[in-house]
Amino acid sequence: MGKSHTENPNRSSLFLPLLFLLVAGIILAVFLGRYPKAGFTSLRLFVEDPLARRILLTLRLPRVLLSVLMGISLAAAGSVFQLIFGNPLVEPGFLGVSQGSAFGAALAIILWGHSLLQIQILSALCGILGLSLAYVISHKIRFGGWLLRLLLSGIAVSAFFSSGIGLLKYIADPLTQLPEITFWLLGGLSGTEWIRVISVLPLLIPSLLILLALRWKINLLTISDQTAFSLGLSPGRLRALLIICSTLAVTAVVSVSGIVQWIGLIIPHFARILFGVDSRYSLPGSLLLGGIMGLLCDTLARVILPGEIPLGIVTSLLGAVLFIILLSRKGTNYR
Amino acid sequence: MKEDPAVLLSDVSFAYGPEKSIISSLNINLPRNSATAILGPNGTGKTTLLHLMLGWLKPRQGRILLLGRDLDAWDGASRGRTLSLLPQKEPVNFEYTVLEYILLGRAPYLKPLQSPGAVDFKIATNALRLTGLEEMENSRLPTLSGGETQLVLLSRSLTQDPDILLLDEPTNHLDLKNKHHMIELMSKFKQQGKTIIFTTHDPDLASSLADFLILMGNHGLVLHGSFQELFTGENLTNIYGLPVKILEIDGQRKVLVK
Repeated sequence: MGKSHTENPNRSSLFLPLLFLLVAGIILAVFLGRYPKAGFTSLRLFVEDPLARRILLTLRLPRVLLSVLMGISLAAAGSVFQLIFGNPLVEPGFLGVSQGSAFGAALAIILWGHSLLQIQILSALCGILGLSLAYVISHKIRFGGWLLRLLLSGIAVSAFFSSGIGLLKYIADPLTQLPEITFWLLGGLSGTEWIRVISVLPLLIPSLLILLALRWKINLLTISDQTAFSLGLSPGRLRALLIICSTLAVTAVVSVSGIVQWIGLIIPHFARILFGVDSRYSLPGSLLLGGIMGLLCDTLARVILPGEIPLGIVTSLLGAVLFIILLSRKGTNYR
Repeated sequence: MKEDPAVLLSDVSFAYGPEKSIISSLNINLPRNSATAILGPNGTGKTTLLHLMLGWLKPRQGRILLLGRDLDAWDGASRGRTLSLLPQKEPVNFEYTVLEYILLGRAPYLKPLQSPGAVDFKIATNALRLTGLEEMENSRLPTLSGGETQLVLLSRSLTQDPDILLLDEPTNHLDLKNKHHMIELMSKFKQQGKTIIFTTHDPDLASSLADFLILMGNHGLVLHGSFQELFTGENLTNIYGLPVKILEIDGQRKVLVK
């Protein structure tokens, strides 16, 4: 090893290229679409045609940015969850958050129809309610350690909300409300405007900043609680803070994107492969990779077919392929 | 002025449930720069006693003083700089490198948002040199053997640079060579003026290191005193419920089951 251990050159040197890739991807994605025909909008058109400019700046740019934010927060939450739950197969939605958000959105659709603001608010509230319920119930369970208790109550809360979603779908108007609910459940960012991008920021930015600020400390929750305590930590308090921040970040984006699976599960693995397990590197790495993945999936969902493909379909397809690649990779060792 | 003991238990009782009393009205005084072995059959509360001394478990009754100060009065970071736990086993769910992992020992020295820096890396690599793992700093934890993993845990505790080291069955699962190595490291730690307190099932380990002995038997029976006085065939026979004889070979006391 060299003289200075503080910076591992192999790891931090990847940040800049990935950031460059992300920024380049954002610019390319903004110019990619179906105006005036499928393909890239030329720079000349952008300068000369006011309609092209409007499409790019008020429709595509906010959507592209939201897809990046979505990927960032799902991957960040997934990274944190996998480390602190000591389980590489955990994803951010598993504490009742995803099903809670979905229930909230379906309820809003039944109550107010196609009203994005109401859907977003109720979905976020129910996502937070899901987490709170899982937390409260986990304290009632007289079985197993905290991890198992939280997991079991998360399963129970998710089942509770799924049954609620089933009921709402059953009573929904099959011509207007039901397709809307189904579409929301498959995830998607169509119709994104600047106001929606801005509306996720108050929850998203502080949550992500706290996670990033504590990124080295997260490592301390992968060891046993007694040892973490012996290292001067209050493991329960730190864990609660990290779970709340991760969940808020996820709830913020899920309330506008709908259920988007796999990004939060798969990206943290690639981040750990590229940057090592130490969350000082793997967490920022996960954010960057998540942003790229979110951008890639949403761009594919937007441009592959003349009509829009629900985002959840694209992320599941890509996610499954990446998952198989990951598991068949040489040297994979999960215990 | 008399120096405060490393750990002082005064009238300490502890129970896990209403019925399951583990420790009752225990008074123990462990001086600084001493080695104490906690010996006894399974389920008598050895690890519980260690966790009480750590402050992880709170006594139902009584007080525990660390260097003369009530454990509750210590803030986490200063406690972490004073007292370290080497656990019996530790979950290893991810492929941390040895160096990344033992750097966690620097946590009590870092500000809330700080990451380890050059000084911390130096201390960590020093600890690896001491335990003989310097060649392994980039090895991934899950690839290590049980003995190597135990030495990694010890390296983390040394990186923590504590005054008092609590070890929970430190030589469990170690082969003869690694066991010897562990004993050497523990005694070196003590020679630096520090205090060690360890649980063990191995009377030989107790006999090669301990100045004091805590014998824990069933039904809350606890004997505490100097090793020389307490480590007798009669006491061990009582504690283990098994006829035991002590032999002295080359100045070391060995346990023989009759």
